[in-house]
Amino acid sequence: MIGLSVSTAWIYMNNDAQRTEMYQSVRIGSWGAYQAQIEYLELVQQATECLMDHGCASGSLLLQAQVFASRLDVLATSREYDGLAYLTAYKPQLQGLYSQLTEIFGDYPDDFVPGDQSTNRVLAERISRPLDEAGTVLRGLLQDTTLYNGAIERREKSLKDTSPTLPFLLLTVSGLAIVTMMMVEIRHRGRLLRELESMRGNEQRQRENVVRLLDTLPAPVFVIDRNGGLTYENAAAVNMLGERIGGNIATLAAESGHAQAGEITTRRLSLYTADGRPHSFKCHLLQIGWSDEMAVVWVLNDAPVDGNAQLLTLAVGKMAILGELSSAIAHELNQPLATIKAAAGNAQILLHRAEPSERVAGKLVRITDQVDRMSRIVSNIRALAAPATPATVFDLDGTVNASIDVVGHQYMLASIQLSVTGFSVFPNMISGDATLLELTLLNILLNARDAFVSRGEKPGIDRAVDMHIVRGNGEVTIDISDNAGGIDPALLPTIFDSFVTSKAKSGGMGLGLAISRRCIEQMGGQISAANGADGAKFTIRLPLAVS
Amino acid sequence: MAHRILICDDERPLAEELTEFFALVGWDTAIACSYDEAVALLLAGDPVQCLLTDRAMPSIGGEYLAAFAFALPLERRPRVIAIMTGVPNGESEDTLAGDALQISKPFDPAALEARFTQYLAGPK
Repeated sequence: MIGLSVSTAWIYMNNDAQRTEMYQSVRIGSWGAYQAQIEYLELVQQATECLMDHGCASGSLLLQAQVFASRLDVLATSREYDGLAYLTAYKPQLQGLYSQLTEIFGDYPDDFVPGDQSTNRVLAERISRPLDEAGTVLRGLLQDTTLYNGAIERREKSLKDTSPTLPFLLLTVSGLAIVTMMMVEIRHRGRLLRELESMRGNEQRQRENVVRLLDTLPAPVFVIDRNGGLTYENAAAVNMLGERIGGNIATLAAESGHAQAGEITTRRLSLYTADGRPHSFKCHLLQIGWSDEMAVVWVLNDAPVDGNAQLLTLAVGKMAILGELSSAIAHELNQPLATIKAAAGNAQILLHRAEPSERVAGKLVRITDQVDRMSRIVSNIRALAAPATPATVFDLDGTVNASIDVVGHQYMLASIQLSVTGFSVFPNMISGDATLLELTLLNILLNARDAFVSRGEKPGIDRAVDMHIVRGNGEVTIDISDNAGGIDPALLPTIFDSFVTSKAKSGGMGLGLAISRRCIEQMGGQISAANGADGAKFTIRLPLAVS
Repeated sequence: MAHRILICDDERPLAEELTEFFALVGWDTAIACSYDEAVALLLAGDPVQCLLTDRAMPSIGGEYLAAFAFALPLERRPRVIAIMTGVPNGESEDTLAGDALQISKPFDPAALEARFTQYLAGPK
């Protein structure tokens, strides 16, 4: 600030000095015009004497004229008048006079005789005309420069009379004002800087609080930065994914583009868990500010816990699917029970009437047959309801055949034509729990039957369900399609969610497909549903354990 | 004069046992194992006063047989129509069955016969 004030004073004083120098320069110009006027008068006097034959010092007339011409040239080429327009206007006239005189001098030879009276007279006559004109120009120039110098003198006197205190005060006040403004600005900026630091501190503390909160959450949480890098994972995520986190980053980064600020987006992803197996997760993602940039927070739902809990979950799922199948099971059991009860009642009547024992024995045989039938049904159900077991490798074809055996009678009753195509000569070996896949197939097949029945139309031979199996690219695809009219489009997007059912009226819980999806994904596969031209189509894709 | 009952069920052992029971207790009986067989018996021969049919049968189920029976001329229409089902509480309350009785399997044939007899003793 001191440097600025010194600089301002220096500029002020320097300008003042320059102004003084300019005034002195104009005064010198005035002096040149005054000398030219004197020389002009002397030349005029001498020329007059020559013209009047008074015995002029003719030897000096030419020299005097040449000196005067030189004076005109000096005035014409001087730069002292530059910047003063009304003085520089004389320059062309002075230059013209100089040219006229030098032209006259040029006519005189080197053997000019200075004492020759007649020659001097002629010279005096020839220069008389330019001299008249020069007199007019020089008078005007001397008058104007004298007036200008007078004005300058008045201004200088005024400046000298002016006290230097006022400029100094003004300079001091302006300097203080500038210093004050700068100090205010510095304090303002300092306050802003402190507020910014405070905000950053608060942000840092809030982020630390968020991290502490996320650390305590039981659900796995990740933060993926805008470059697709993992910047945070909580303890649950570490426990769940372990060393496998690296293999999931690409998936998480690719899906992070779906996140939006201020809005929670839900996705379903298949990620590798610590045991190296893929698992499907329902994920919530949200774009937030994280360490001065935007990042995506991932929260995973329905994460698997440990092996025993996983098996327990599967067992519960199997029970739920069996519950969904309870109507079909009840029907299968009630049929032989009705026969047994009727046969037993008839046997009692026959015994009471003392009918021949052969007829009573026939009833007992029939009852035994029905009991055996029920035993087979119960055995099938028990196999399905067996506790969930760790994954084993099994043949898909056997599971498909077992499913068809269970639903065969139901399909026959409902006049549904079931066809299975695409069986391979090579066994399609799948890794997982065979009963889970069998339950899933049963669930889809019986849903198709229910769809036909619920339509209420008179059954005909056009009821058809087709199961097509295709093997390729290390996986096997099972397409199950029917012509029962399809799934309600409103239900289709959420058909695999829990408690979504089109059979609420008949007591459907809406758990079958939700659990089916969990079963298939547990085996590393995928299940999807769509509507075809005249019915629903379910597609199950499972990786082959042995390709 | 004995009442005549037509029993229709694709489960032949059950149809036979029920037919035998009603015969033992004095009913005139007819047996069918499909919709087509039952329709033929309803249209020909002696009229039946009671129709007992299974609901879930291949091709065409018991609801349609009941609907057909309800549509018969009065002189051939059974006075009592009952539908048996293996699904508790009925899986599909089809309106085609009209006022037919819904019978859940398994059931006591003697109790069922008593209900039929009671209905038939009532006003026509």
